[in-house]
Amino acid sequence: MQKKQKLQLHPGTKLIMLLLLNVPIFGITDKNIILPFVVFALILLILSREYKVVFKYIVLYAVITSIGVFSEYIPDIIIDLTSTLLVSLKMFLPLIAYGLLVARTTTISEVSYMLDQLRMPDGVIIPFLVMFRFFPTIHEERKMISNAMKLRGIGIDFKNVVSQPLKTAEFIYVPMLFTLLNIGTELTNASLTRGLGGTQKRSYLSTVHMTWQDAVVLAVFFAMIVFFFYLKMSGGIV
Amino acid sequence: MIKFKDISFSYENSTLGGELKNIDLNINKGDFVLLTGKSGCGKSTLLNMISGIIPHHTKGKISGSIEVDGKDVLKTSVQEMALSVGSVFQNPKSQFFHLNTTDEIIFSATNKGVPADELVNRLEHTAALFHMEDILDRNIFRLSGGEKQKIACASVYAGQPKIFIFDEPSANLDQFAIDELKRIFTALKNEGKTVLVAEHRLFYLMDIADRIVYIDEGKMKAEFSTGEFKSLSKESRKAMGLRAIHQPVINGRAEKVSTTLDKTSVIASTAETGDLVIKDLVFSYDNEPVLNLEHIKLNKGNAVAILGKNGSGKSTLSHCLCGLNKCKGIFLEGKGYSEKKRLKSFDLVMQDVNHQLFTESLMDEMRLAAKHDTSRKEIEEILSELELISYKDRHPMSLSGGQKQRLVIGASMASGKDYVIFDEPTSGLDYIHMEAFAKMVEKLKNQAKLILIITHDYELVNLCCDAIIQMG
Repeated sequence: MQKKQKLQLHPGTKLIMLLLLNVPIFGITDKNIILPFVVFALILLILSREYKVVFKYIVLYAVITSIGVFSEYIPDIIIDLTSTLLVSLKMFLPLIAYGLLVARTTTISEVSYMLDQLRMPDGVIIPFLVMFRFFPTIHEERKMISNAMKLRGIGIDFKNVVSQPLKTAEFIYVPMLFTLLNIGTELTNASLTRGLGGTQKRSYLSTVHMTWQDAVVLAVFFAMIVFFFYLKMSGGIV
Repeated sequence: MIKFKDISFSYENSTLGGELKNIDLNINKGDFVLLTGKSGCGKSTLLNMISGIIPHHTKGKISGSIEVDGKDVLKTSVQEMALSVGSVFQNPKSQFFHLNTTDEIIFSATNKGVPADELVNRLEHTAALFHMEDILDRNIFRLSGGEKQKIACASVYAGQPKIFIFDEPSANLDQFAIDELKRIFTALKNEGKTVLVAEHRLFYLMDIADRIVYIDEGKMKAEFSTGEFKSLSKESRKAMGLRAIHQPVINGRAEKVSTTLDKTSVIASTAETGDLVIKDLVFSYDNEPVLNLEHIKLNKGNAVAILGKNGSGKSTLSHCLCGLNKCKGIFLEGKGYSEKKRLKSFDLVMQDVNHQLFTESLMDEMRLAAKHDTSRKEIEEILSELELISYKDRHPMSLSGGQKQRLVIGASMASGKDYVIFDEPTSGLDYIHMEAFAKMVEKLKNQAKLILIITHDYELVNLCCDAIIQMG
């Protein structure tokens, strides 16, 4: 079976971008500057053939930014209640884009290989990998719990969130906590009996290395950061 | 290969059983041993002691000695034991570490440090043996339960242990996947591996097992050769709480419901309109049609089994009926029902009932589901009927699996919903518990409810279902 060509970046490249993105986010107050960084992440996601994620992200981005634009038509009380949340969400939107790039296009074994190369101890590597494994699990379990809530008439809808926000949160977290606890125990047992964390050195089927693609992506990313700081220094933006 | 000498074990903080008393068991290289007994009899405890999960990970009081492949289990770490022993567990969704199938198949081998070129060989060999070339390099979350379980078996196999232990591997599998599992077991046996399987479903192991060990209340009560076991009378087998030894077939009682218009449906008999009518129900995921049901008519006071392979749309149908999926073509008592109204008429008892327990006590849980005018007395009556009244102030999560399921059924009774769907309610249950569940279904039928049961358990169908819908 011939596989379709898609962009495959080294996990290190993606993590470096995710970390360095904090510099313009917190260093430049003009938030519109961030847009090119977001577009760049979306282009990388498209090249990795993650079309659905890109679509959902654009919808999310449009909703959150448009609330600011239409603020004069929205009652003040709603603005007051949600502004802090909206501002912080807006601030983290670019980070979400790069987070998605890491989450959607990186396998656990790639991360594991990278951390092994960096000679991290197992005590650091294994919790990190388990965290990676748990994000999609939380997503799956949340879907089932939200179905169960709908059937009891306590679903996560506008009425319940407004009339009993704390109760609704509790109804999500109680079953979530217990199911994750069960899955955690069972997953631990399965992993240990498959030898995870044993005394042998882990081996890998395929190894990942930095390629020219990583070099190009990182070069563009650095160039953007340098360019915007040059603009800031020269007083073009604040 | 495996030597238990006077082993006793009790869990540190559990009232849910599973302890072992004075176990003496010898298993030789190449033996295929079936462990069976009622739920909570200690089968799983015994297996977990071979892999070393007990006592190294799950703590408790232990006496006696166990030697596996020349290692003293009590003094050897789980990871060290993993070099000799491979374990496959019951729940397909919680035993994969990677999210990608290929990575998962070689997971065990990579942890043992098998070099890359040998990994390639093992991957190819394993994929060929398990007939799974078509599911390599895929997202495990998108696979069916049967496929996930196959990946788990493959991952253990690629680690090349000498001993394989399986803890109720068929619990979530359909007939087709069980046949696949049987084929895998035969291959292991032919390779001279030592295999232990703890199971309730016995029929598929009858041509493979060399010995059958019956455990009851933590003790080794009896040991049979397969021939001796097969000659047990049906009555004594049921008294031991054991399931059928022949592949169960659906007997005459439950008849197939027509899903097309031209044939007359069986249980709707002369009635023109049924209580539940499905008409031209079409449902697709991502433009791929999953359901296409022309016409089904069902009446209250019946239990209807929904059968079909994993992935044939059984769960999708149940979500459509409950109003969790948006679709047209569902009529209750002659009227078309919107999603919102269906959510109020249908209840769903999920396979993992932990998803639907939200509160801190049984009373609160019942109160949350009950109609507003339900009195405390009515709630207590339901709890007594389900033998849960003595736990009414306990936390729902402290109950056993069966009790939790009964609590969710009780909540459904209190809600007054007339249409109740069960998603694989008897997977992993022994005969006695399965029979008890069937009695509960009879009770619900007497309350003029329509019961729909998604299941692979033909013994259950024969006990309590009046009709079947065959999907796919």
